[in-house]
Amino acid sequence: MAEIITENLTHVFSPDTPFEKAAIRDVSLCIPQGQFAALIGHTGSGKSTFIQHLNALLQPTKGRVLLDGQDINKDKYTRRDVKWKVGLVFQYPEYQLFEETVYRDIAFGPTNMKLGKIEIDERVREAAAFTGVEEELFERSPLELSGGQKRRIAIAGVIAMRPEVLILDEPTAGLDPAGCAQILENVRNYREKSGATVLIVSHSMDDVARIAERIIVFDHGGVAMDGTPVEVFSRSHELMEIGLNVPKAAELAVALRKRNIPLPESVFTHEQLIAALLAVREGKTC
Amino acid sequence: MLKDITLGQYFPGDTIIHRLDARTKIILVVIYIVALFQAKGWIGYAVVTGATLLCMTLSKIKPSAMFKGVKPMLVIIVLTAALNIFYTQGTPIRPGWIITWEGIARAVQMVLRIVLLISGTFLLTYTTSPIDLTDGLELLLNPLKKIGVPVHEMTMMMSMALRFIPTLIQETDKIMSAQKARGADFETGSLAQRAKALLPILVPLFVSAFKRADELAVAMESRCYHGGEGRTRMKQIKMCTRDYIALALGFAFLALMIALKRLGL
Repeated sequence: MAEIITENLTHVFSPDTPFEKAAIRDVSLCIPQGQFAALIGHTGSGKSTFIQHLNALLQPTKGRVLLDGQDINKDKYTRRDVKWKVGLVFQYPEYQLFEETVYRDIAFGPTNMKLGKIEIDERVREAAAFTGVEEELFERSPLELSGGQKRRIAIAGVIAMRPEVLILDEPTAGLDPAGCAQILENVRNYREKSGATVLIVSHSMDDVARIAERIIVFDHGGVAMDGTPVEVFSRSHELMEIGLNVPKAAELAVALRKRNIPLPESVFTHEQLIAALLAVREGKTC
Repeated sequence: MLKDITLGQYFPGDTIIHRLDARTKIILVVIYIVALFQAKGWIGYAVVTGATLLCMTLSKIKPSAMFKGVKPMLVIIVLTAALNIFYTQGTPIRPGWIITWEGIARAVQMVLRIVLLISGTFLLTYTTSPIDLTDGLELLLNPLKKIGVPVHEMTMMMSMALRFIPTLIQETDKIMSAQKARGADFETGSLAQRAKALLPILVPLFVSAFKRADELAVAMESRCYHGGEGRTRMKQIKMCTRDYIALALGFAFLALMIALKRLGL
């Protein structure tokens, strides 16, 4: 069971100096158990600062973070334990690989949890299976593998802790389309099997439109929009004002609407666009 | 936490000190250090302190920034002061006490010397951008090329090192957070355990540093960089009148300090 609630979360960098800057301001959100949410916002909007509060890597200047009703910053034990429950995959996680073998790198988290050997072995194999890391790679050095493989190993390293909440910062950045699709598939797979809550930070609106149940838009350190993809992408005008783009299909739909082709507001994936266009054509011919 | 390190930090500005040629400033700092060590008596110290304060005021660097430079040396300063207070022979401040008037005087002078030494050199790095600094150094050391010293290569390495320090610090911060998210513990345990805990930071840091170095080398080569020979500069630096005046003042200051020393002041 893992429900994350933030109450008036505020974080100020370098307080009481000329460089003082509020990275996030009064963010109150509730992400219920099992939800697949996406966080979008342009660079400097406070997304990265926000997610680092969710596993107590950063402590709030003001406000609280509650995991299942418990303040995660209560003392240093809750701060440590929350790291097992809330798994955070950083941007470009392949740069954190350091062990001599893939197996030992994936086992790093569970080892820090002081689990038994058998338990660790089980978790490593399970995490590798989730992320599509073949067992033949276990004895290889992670540093000699390809970028996509490294990324999946790094994500396996977090999944091996069996987090109840999985947070990924730009997990598809810098990967080719096949690699992107595979990572997203792995994440979806983990969520389905474990029932974990997933929060994904992304720039790619097309990815987000396809997979997320809920979209939270950050702007200037606060929540600008929050709702289902239909709700958020139907406000494409506002999104563009914030400096974010909308999914390619939604953009095309806006352009077509301007040319008096009556498309519904809720079109934002390729499949939906095709279906809507077909419907319009049939409407005309009839 | 790692972001607080001041390492040759440059405060941009447009004061007379900022505008001086980097070469002038480097020579002046050398003169300043030599002059500082001529100070023997109170008058000598007063003159050096006055000159330093004058330069600081001219450069408009905030005293708090200066203090930040001195802070890392605090342990050494306190230790020097303590040693001088307790181990100098002379008249005790009270009969039977180990602390002597001479000891206190020496301690004050030694502390003053260290603080002035640091502030003087920091004034150079605070008012000169790293690029100007290495350019100036290269031009100053140019004569050494004749005897085969790779001056250009050395200064190029220096400016690259300076350029990448902030990048590496940022990277370290990022890797540390990532490993902490996987439950790495850097704060508790015995010394050996903590040293071992650094491995998950150092390995990725070295890997990326080498990768970065490789990429940088390729980028430089593809822009036809081939060392110092026949290389011209975009920004020609030239000594002008104010530099000669500053140098003259510097030498006059040194002469004054030597004279004061001879007179035993």
